[in-house]
Amino acid sequence: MPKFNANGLLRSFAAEMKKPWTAESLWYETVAKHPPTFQYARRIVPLYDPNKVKSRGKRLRKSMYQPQEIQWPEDKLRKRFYRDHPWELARPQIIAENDGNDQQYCDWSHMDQPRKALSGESVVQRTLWLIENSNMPVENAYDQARKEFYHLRAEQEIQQRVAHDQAQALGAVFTKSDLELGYEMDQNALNSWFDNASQYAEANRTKFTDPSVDISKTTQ
Amino acid sequence: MSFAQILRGSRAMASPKCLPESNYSTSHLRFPRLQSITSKKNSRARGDWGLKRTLPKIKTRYICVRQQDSLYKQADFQSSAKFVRLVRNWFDAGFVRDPSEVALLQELLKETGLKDTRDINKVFSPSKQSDENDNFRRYGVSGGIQYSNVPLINSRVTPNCESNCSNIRRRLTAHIISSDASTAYYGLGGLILRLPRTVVFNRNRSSPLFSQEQRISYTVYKNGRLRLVPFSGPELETHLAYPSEDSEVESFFNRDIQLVAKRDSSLDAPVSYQRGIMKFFMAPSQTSNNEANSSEKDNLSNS
Repeated sequence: MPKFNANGLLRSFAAEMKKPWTAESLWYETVAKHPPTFQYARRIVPLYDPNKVKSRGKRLRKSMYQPQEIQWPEDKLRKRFYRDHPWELARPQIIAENDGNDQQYCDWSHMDQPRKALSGESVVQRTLWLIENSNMPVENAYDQARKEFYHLRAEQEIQQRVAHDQAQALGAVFTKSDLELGYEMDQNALNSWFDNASQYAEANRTKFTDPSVDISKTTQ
Repeated sequence: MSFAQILRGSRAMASPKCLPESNYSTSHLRFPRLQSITSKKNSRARGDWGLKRTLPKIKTRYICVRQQDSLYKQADFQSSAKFVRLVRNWFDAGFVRDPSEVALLQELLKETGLKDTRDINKVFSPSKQSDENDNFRRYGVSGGIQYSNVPLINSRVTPNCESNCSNIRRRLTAHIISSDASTAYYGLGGLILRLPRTVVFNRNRSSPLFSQEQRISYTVYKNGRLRLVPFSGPELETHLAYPSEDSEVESFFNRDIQLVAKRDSSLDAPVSYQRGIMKFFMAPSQTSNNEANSSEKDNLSNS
């Protein structure tokens, strides 16, 4: 028997409706006139891969109705790229959509896109484009896309440094970076430690010195 | 477009979730494993990060999501500002490729006929030299700001311990009190180190809090090697007069040191030395004075 039986639920609701203190639900009359006739979950059978189903053996019937994992060819390329370049994951990305048509605005015949920031996804899409249009094998297409990515990334860094130098030359004043702030914090910590240590040594001078030795002579 | 195409081209599907994690603790991780996600300010205020469900108000600006929909019907996420800030600091520090290494790679490319510098690693495996600084060689960078050299200096200073406890050389932690711009160029007297007390054997016979104050100089060469020398006045010639790099022989730095050494050698050291001897002989008695006079006469007769 299925775990949830719609007709059984309807019958139990009918019993509840007979009690005088229970109000009638709005949907009860309609559902009572047109009760459900079959299970919807099992009616719709998803398309399944026979190889995956056979590998389960005795659990064939159970796995047949389970939702299957979604897989695309981009997944392997993404996995490989980010395994080779893990620090690309540290560049933050925005995944909140505007209109959901990002792929339509991109032309992957070249790597640089005006409406999309350079990232690992550019390498993946460029690789797919090369595989489809240039009839390249996967290895060569991935290598070419990767080298184009390196070139564009280097250009990007050089442009940033040049812009920074130009801004400074024209009189811009930048705030302190994390490194400078950290350096100042380190110095402040050392200075405060030095002051505390000096006070402690001064207060406990007799503890740390031998009374038989004349301090004034040693200091001279 | 169909739903499958829209889902395939969406940004959420493009964010990778492919690097396995052994445990949930990320304090020991050396590199990121999940994509760092951010959002605009107004979207962040509404809790909209582009995920299945809205997130509560959080202070961090960068997060990484392990599961969009966990068993408890919540998004499993955590902050990833650590790696984002590290990447930013790396660029702020100004590290660049070592020019000598780049030139060497170019020469190797010409000799071997390879097309990519990354292929050199498959052909050549350079042996590790003991005199090079591992901290810089590991990353293939040179120099940078002075801040990056601070931990190296702390770990390399091994001065002599001149206290009553022991005369054996040992490694001590040094705290850097001050530094100035001359250190970067000359490496002369740029740092003042104070060595804190480390051992207390007896209540009344312990060494003072600061065993000694020492000035130390260091030089960072273009190949990233760091050279540390304890500096003291009378030992100027022995420590700093001999350059260890070929390019340093004709540099302004070396000429300055040579001039200082010559100036020190041209002082009145031998005369004072002779005067000391004379005083020593003249002091005890008159007979010694006569002997001194006779010795002087002999010198005059010899000349």
